[in-house]
Amino acid sequence: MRERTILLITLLGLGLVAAGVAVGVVVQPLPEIATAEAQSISQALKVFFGISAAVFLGMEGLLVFAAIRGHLLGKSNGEVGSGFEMVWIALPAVLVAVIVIYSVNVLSEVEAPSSDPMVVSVIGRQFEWEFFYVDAAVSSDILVLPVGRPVELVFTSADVIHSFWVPAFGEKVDAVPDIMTSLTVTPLKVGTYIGVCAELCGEGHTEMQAEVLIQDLTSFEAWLGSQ
Amino acid sequence: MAGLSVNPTEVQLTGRRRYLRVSADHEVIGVQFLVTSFAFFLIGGLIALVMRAEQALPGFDFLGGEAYNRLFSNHGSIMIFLSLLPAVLGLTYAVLPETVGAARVAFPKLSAMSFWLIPLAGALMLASFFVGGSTAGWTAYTPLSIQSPELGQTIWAISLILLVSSLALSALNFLFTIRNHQSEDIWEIPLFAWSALSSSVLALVASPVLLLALVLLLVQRIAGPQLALLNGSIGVIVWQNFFWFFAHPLTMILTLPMIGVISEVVPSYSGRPIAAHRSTAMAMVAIAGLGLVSWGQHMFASGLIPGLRVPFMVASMAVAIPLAFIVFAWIATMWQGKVRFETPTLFALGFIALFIIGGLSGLILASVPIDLQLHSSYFVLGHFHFALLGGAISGLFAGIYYWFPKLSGREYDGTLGILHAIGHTGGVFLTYSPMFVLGLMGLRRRVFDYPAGLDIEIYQFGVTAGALMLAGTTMLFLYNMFFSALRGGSVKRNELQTGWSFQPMSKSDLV
Repeated sequence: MRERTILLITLLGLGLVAAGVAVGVVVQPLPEIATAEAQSISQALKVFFGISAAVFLGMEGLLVFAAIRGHLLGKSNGEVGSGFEMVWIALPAVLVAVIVIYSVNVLSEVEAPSSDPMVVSVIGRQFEWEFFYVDAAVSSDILVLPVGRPVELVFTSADVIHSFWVPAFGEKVDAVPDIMTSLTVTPLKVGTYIGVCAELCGEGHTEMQAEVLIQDLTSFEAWLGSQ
Repeated sequence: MAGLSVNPTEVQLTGRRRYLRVSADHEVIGVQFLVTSFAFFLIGGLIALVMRAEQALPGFDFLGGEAYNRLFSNHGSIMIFLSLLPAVLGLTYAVLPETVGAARVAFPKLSAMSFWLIPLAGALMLASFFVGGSTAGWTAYTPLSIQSPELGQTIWAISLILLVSSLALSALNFLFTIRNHQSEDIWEIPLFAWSALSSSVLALVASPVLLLALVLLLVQRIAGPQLALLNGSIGVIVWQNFFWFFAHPLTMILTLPMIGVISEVVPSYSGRPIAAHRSTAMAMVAIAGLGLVSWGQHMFASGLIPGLRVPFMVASMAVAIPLAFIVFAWIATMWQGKVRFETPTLFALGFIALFIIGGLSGLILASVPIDLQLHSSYFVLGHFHFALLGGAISGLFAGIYYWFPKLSGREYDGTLGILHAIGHTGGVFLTYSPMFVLGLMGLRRRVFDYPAGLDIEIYQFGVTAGALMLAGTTMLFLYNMFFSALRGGSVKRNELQTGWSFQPMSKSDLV
């Protein structure tokens, strides 16, 4: 009987792990991936969704089973051994430790310092974005980036808080008045994307969007020269 | 405050009229809180439906940026501060004294004062809607909340000061009520009292901080640039830290007492004491403690000092440990119990099922790199609606049905109750799970429009359908409560005892 229980728990555990892995493999968390950072974030999301799926199925399954078992067997009995309490603490504690370590790793991967980034200063104002290419002294209302070269976007705001979010970049940061914040992105994929304001900034918040283009180096330099 | 002097004969008033007067009876006050909060729940829900009507289809339909900002700002403030908060306080007033063997709360007049601040603040909040309204969201980040010239935003700040004061007064009241407990050992008091104890300490520590920030905001809005206390970068840092120092614990203040309710309902309908009573109480204290040091979790993408992000992430994620422990304790209680499926049980099961989703999505958002992508997106909306509507409100419904016979002396309609439980749980799932997908697709919150032609429309349709389902099931609840309170069958004395009695508190029951 006891061996059967252990076998059953092992099989169920393996089933949950398999389900988690399957979800992690199948799910495509980001519709578009434009940067190296977005690739890391997408990977991290897959891991998190895989873990969440396994935990979700395990916990919900246990909940439904316990309720139905308690209803059908219908005899109130027994003490719950104090050994179980340690398991109830250990399981989530191990899970939390794992995802903390994993998150710290992903964070250092995403924020790894890149050599010689091109600096673009971004100013948010109600309700538009302005991009200033520092070296070329060029100002633009669209963001054009060359593929392959790390870019440091340095943000500030002229009025209230804004937040620059290109979903395909996998990250965002607030543009705050009197404060400089920054985001380093490494464009990977040529294409047209959209950058929005993700922090409520007033009446025109919904419309505060900017076109974001990732081009090959030649097209980018031609564009920069023409400005 | 002459109206607050309590006439001893008034306390003895029976009949329905006592609910319309200043009362010092904790059960009457509990019902006053609950009914008032439900009225605001309907108003907040109506606003949500208007927003849904705009969101149902892509493109501008009838709400522009200004109107939409005003609607969601008021939806958030009303739901959190005028609906959920008073409901949680009301349920606590209604049952807390009995859980600790007290005849009444420690400060009856203080409870009356705490209650009457709610309709006053609510009237101000509703009035503010017609004088420009608050448009900076319930979070009211500066400088946006300073910039708006409308009177509505100023009235919003006054209203919130009253509401947070009401919370602080009640929390103080609860703490002193629990202090008078009749048990030999504080660990023996029922888990509902433990949840009220943990959340009240949290409320007392956190509320002065938001009160201070609100006063600074109010002074600056009234005095203008001459007295600019929240200007520029200092203002941004002060407001966000002060706001979340209160608002993060607030999510615990709203959910912990409901965890307490479920910790009474589950054992009661399993016919046995809860597994691990003492450890569950400790877990509640741990949740409150961690809630106090997790506020930075909301500022990962806001330019928070980089070195502080990981400690805040660890604190935010660690709360999963005591939460999971309590869920395991509930599951073990049912496993070894004799489970009866009645309305409170179904709401408890719904609470646990939905709270697991709220918790897991919270773990995902607490991860710094992932939050950089999902912060301010629909994913966040999905997360906290699962936690608050799936968690706190399911818990409230469980508690309201559970103690309805005690409070009204009458039976509710069990069939309608079961329909409500199933509809509410299904409705929450249908409404808020598509929001996770929408957030992943890159849809930001607080916008009235989204691009057409994408899959977005299908998921938005799911949200809209779920919202209508929730509206319908809420009407079931309203009907059930209203008619059962008037015409429901009387509850016999002995049924009353078994129906809502708290868990046995003898030493041998404590694991």
